[in-house]
Amino acid sequence: MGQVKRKELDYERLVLVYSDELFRYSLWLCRDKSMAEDLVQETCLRAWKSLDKLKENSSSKAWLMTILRNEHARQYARYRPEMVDLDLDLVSLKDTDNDTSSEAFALKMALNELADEYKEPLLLQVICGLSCEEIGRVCNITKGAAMTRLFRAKKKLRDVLQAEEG
Amino acid sequence: MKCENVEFEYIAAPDELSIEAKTHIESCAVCQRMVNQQVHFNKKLTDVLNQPVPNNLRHASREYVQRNKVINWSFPKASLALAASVLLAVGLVRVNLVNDASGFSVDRLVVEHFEHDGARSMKASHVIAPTQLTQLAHSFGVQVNLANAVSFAERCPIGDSYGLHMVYQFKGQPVTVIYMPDIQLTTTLPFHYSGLHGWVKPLEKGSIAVIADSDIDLPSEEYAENAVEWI
Repeated sequence: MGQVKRKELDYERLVLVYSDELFRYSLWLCRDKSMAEDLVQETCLRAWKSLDKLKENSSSKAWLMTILRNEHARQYARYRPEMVDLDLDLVSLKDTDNDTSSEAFALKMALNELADEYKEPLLLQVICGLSCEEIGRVCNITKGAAMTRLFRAKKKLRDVLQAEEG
Repeated sequence: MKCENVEFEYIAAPDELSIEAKTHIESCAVCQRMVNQQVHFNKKLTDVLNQPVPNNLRHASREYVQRNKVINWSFPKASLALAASVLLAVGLVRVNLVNDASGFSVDRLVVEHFEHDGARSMKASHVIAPTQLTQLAHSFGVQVNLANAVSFAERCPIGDSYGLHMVYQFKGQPVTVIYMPDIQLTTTLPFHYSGLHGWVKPLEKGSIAVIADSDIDLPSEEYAENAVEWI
């Protein structure tokens, strides 16, 4: 099999398997569906261009998420202040059909208010299924720090949910 | 191990619990209550975070990369015949992704399908008996109008339901056609993947997928509408 063909198949497989996770992670970072799609596309392009740097299949998901996270920081972070008022519209109940309860709405609001340093590990774990070790690598923190941030993020969200239920 | 340490481990990473924590939970009523509460919370959190994914995400991403990459991909000239059944799965499953109620990761289903199935449907070199095709089609409540050019027909699992999978000789080349009575779409979904191309089109009842090697001409969408007829 030719080198280009091999690269093509490796790439297609990678993106095929993980594109849902890429989009969902992207959506919660961008808080806008079309921006999230653009970010996934740019991530795919960058993944294609640097596929040779991916050595182990086992780390491929974390590798893709790192590309997406870096690309988000590079391209989109500077626009965030303009998006603050739109948060609830952009990832709002009307855009989802997976859960329309008041608990879900409260959770979404709390998620939007979480600081990035807590939200990112949470997204990487719940959406992408990364281990604490992998989250640490993606976010440039230790495994212990990743666990601490996950613990605090979930505690905060759980308190919100309990208040809503109670 | 102390309860507070177990709580920390469980809340932070429930799938990565240490043996000590697992053992502690088995014998501690307080921690078992905490686990029960956390299971409910984790379920809620997962439901909220897992937003629906746009139908055409992969297609759009692929097109974007095609337009912008530096190195040209040369799609295989040779027929990717063995893919035909599989091929179909790409488009199919993608649709199924959105509609499949099982919650299964259809991405994984496609890949597994790719690796474990595919060649068989393309091996048949002769047209199957009309009565055999008729009998099978009737089990789906349809009549197939593909004018004695079907070399393979089988009922195959598609997500949570079944589809009528056929290989059709179009202009002397094998094209896979799958009728899926239980998979609904609102618009036609094109796709292009690893040297394969095709589309999935909504029908009055369910949808139909057509897929083939990217070098092979596809029948028109109008053709698909006429391919099956409800009894």
